[in-house]
Amino acid sequence: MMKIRSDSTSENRGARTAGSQNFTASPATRCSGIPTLRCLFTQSGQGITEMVFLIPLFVILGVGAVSVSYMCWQGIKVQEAANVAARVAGQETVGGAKDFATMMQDNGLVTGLGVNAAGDPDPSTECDQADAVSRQTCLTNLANGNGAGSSIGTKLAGDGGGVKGVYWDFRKLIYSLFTPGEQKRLYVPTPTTRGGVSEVKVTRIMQAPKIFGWQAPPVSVSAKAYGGEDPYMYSLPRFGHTNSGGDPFWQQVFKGTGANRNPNQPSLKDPNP
Amino acid sequence: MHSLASKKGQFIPIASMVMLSTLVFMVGLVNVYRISRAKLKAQNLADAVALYIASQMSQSMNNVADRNEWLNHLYINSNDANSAQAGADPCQRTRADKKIPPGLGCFAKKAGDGFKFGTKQGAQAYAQIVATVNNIQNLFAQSYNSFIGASGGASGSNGRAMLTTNLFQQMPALQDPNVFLIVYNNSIDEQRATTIGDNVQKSWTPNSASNQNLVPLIRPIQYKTQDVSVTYNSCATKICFGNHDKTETLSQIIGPNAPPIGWMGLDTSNAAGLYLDPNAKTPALGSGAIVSISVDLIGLGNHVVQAKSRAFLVMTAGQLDPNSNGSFSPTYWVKLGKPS
Repeated sequence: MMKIRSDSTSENRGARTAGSQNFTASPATRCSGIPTLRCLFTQSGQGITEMVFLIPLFVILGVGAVSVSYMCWQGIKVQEAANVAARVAGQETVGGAKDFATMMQDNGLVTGLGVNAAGDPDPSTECDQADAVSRQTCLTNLANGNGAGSSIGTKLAGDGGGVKGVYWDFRKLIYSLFTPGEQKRLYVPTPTTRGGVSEVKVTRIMQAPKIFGWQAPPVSVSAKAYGGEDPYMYSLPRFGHTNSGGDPFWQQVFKGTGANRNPNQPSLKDPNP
Repeated sequence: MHSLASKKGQFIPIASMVMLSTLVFMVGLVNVYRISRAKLKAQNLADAVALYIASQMSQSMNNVADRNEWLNHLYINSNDANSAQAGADPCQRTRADKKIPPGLGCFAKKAGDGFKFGTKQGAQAYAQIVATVNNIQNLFAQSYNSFIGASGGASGSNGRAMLTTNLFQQMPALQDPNVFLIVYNNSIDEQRATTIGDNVQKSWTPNSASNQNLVPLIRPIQYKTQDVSVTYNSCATKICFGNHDKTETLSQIIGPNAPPIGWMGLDTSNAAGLYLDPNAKTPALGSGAIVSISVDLIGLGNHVVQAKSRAFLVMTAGQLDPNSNGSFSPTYWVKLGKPS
């Protein structure tokens, strides 16, 4: 039997008149001895009734506010991650090397090394083409690690550090910006290069926990960012690895080291290049 | 009076206020999110556009510089490890064998290091080679001026249309009609761009024709050919007495109306309209971009967020490096922020 203090009912005033400010609020108790129809119209227990409706409403509203806040926060994080990754892609993507395979390897797009060279799947490519219902199913499948996005939530083979290249570098960088829990549904597909500019896309699918067996449909936030630099800006393309080995050619030039250094190129170490 | 003092029905107003406050908080949060996100997008686009145009300028400079450097290696034995490298002394082989013409840089920097052509025809042939390379350099320069949207681009092309096509193809996000872009590549137009940007922020209404939302304030990169002087034996017969050495510029050797022939470099005669930062320690070439994005805010209408970015070239491109033996050093990179 819950005792509450309420000043909002006429019964309360009655109770106060009776000399007691505490009273039992159970409608069953309050209606005992009163005809049923009359009991429906009494204002007795209105506080409880209000609470029964309003507290769940507050909870729903609170959960909604927290969810919206979280989604907004993730949206900002995803955009920030894409921006940073685009800078890396813009600055490090090479347009040439001693051969095509080396160039692909330097860009992290190598095939045949036993890794998922295609990188993460792109949820928008896989899911956005579908209608609304199918899209939800597609996102749910991706979020649960089923269907086309089965690699999601698991470390790709290239994550072990054995595979290097621009794509793996910025993918690693993006992952480091998210918590392990967030990383489970984070998608960084290989960059799209149109002409000379790299486009990096980052997508995160958010899946709410199950409540009494019910689960809200997953929501995705994605962001695109552009690198800007053209790897052909050196007239001769920005070069990757050469037969001389060591660092990629452009890094040797920048560092002012190695056999391929250009004696006229100011070193990045130079305080006054 | 009694009604006002009554405590009846307090729960409903308080609950309503809590719910309303929560809703207002959520709306405010979403609005802040939209503005923050748009700002991040605008900054990325501004960086990318500035770097892209600077990269094209860099390509233009490097194409010219690289072809200057070609002329340092035309006659040098490519098996000679030292002379084959960029930056090697272009006079080196000539000193060892006076029959081998030196690189163009040797004429430009060291007056050929004593080399002279045996006949005028030999000097003319050399001048023709250099003139052909100069033509190629000019064509490249015109093409790249078109790519960056300069009005003085390749004949028959529209610089603005070319820039729009390039940018929209490279960065599809710029096709969004809610994005307004202003680009420039010199300090004078930077002030105009800032004024236009301020007006956009105050009173711009998004236009569905997104290609109208691009304002290019780009000036072409102008190059100047430095006429190179060479010495040749002017004796037209097999036997001549006395000194018949004659020193002329390559253009004089080709003919009276020939344009300057030699190595090409940046034309710095119009410095005010050339540099993005003329007051830097070394006046710097570069490009800038102002990106405005119109954001639709819940209950507050449109709000324009803006981001600005500048990218610079390292200023050694296309120039005869004064610290080298006579080589032409390329630019190699563009950078955001301040000039070197």
